Amino acid sequence: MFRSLLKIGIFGILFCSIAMFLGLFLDVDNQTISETINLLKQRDMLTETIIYQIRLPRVLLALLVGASLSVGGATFQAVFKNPLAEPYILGISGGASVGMILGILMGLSPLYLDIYAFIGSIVTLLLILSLGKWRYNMESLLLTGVMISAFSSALILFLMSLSDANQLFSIMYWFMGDLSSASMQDIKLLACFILPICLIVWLLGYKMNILLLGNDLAKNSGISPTRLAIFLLTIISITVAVTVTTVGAIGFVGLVVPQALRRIFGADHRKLIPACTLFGAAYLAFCDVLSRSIPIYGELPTGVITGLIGAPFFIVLLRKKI
Amino acid sequence: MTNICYNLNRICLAYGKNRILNDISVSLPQEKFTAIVGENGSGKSTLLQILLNQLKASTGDINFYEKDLSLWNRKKLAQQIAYVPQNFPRDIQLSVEEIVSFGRTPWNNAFGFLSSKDKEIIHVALEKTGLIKLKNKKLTELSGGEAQRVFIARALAQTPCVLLLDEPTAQLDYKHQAMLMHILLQELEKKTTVVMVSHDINLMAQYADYILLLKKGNILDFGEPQKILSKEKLKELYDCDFTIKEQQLSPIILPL
Repeated sequence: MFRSLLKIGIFGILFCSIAMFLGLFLDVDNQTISETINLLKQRDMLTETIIYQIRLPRVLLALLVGASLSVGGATFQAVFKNPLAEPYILGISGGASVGMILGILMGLSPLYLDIYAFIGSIVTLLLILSLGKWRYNMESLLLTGVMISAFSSALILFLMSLSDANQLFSIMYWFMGDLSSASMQDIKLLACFILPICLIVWLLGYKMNILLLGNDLAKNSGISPTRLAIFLLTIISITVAVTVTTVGAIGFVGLVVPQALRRIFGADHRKLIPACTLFGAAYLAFCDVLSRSIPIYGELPTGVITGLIGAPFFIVLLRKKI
Repeated sequence: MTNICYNLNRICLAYGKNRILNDISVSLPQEKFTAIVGENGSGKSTLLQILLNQLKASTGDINFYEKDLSLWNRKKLAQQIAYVPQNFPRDIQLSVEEIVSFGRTPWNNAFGFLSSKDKEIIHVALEKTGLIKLKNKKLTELSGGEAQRVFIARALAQTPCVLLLDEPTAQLDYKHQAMLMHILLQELEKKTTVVMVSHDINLMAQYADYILLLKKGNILDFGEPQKILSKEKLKELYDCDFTIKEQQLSPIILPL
C-alpha cells in the first residue's frame, strides 16, 4: 500500500509539474519556451505579467478543478456502483449551472452564486435519488441523467433568453467551460473547498471500497451505507457547485480520469482517490494547454477539449459495458 | 439446557397488505446448526435479514444474546454476526484477497490497515475455502462457485459468533459443498452458531442440529431433523409427495 501510494505521489507530482511547466511557458507572446525562460530571467515586464498574473492563476485553477472533477467522478462511481456515473453526465453540473444563472439574473453577489449553484446541484441529486431506478441497472441511471441534463439545458436556454446581450456572451463562454478568467481570489476560494474535500474522500476510501460489496454486506461490515453515501454525495455537490460557478460545466473529466487510473492502479479507493487528485489535476492542465495551442486565432474553452476526448471514451466504455 | 442465541417473539413483517412473515416465535440455540427450509417465497431469506437486523419487523421483538437486537451497536453487531448472501456483486475490480480482507472491517481501523493477526486470519480463511491460489485474481475473473467461496471466506475472516448463510451451496459443486459443510462443522466446534437457509433438505438432514420449516411466512415446525422430517410434514410443506429411503447414515429424501 505505502509503496503504491509513493509511486502515485511521485508520478502524479511529476505529471503535474510537466503540465504546469507547459501551461506556464508554452506559447508566451509567440516565443519559444527557452526564450520565455530567458526573458523571465532578465525580468522582462511583459513576460512576468503574462506568466505570474495570467498563466499561473490559470494553471493553478486547471489543477484544482481537474482534481475536483476526477475525485467527484470516482466518488459518484463508488456510491452509485456504476462505472459511468459522473456529476456532469448525471446532470448535477447542469443543475448547478441553472442555480448559478438564476443567481446572475437575480443580480446576486458571487458568494450567493456559489450557494445557488449548490442548491441547484443538491436539487438535481435529490431528483435522481427520488426517481430510484438507479438502484436497478446502469442504463436507467444514465438515462435519468441524460433527461435531467436535457431539462437543465432547456432551462438554461430559457433563462438565457431573459438576459441582456452582455450577460448572454459571458454566460455562453462560461457555460462551455472556461479557465481563462482565473483570478487568485477564485483559486484561494476553490482551494479552501477542494483540497480538504479531496483529503476527506481519501480518508473515506476504505469505506468506499466496502460500498462496492453492496448495502447488505456493507451493513454487515459495521458501516452505514446510506449515511456514507449521503455524506459523500453532499460534499462532492459542494465541489461541483464551486467549480461550476468559477469555470462552468467541464464535462467527462470525472469519467476519463478515474476509469483510466482504475486500469493502472486498481479499484482500491485508498489509491484511486490520491491518484485522481494528482493525475486529474495534470489531465485538465494538459487539456487547457491544448485548448490554447490548437486554435490558430484565440483559444477554445477547455470544456470543448475535455468533451472531444471524453464523449468518444464514454461511448467506448458504454459499448464494452465495462 | 441449551443457551439461546436468538429469541424471536411474535415477529410479523408486512409490505402493505402483503404479509411476508406471520407470528414467528422461535428460540434459536447457541453453538448449534439451524437450517431454515421451505418453498420459494416462504420468507426464509427475509427471516435471515431480520436476524441480521437489516430488516425491521413490523411487530414483535427479537433478542440477540438476551439483548434487544435493535439496541445493538452496528459495529459490535458486525463483530458478532457474519453473513453470506444469496446474491453477491460480481463486477468488483478488486482481488480475492482484498475482498476477503473486508471481513476484518468490524475489527480494524477506519483506513483498513491490517495487523499481522488480521493477515493470519485472512490467510486461514483463504486456505479453508481453497482460494489461496486464486488470491491475487480479480473477482470478475472467477466462476460463480469460486466467487461464492470468496464471500464465504469473507464471512469466516470476520471471526463471528454467529454465521448466517443464505443458500451458500447454490452455486457450489459437490466437492465444494462438502468443503463448506466441513468448514461449518469446524466453526461449530469453535462454538459458532450457524443459521443457514437451504433448499437441500438431504444435506440439512445430515448436518443440521435443528430444522425450521417455513410455509407462507408461518412456522410449520421446528426441531431435530429426525423428529420433524416425515413424509406427511414434507407434503404439507411443499404440497407434493415424498419418499424417504432409510440408509445407515442418514435417510435420503426424494420428491415423487
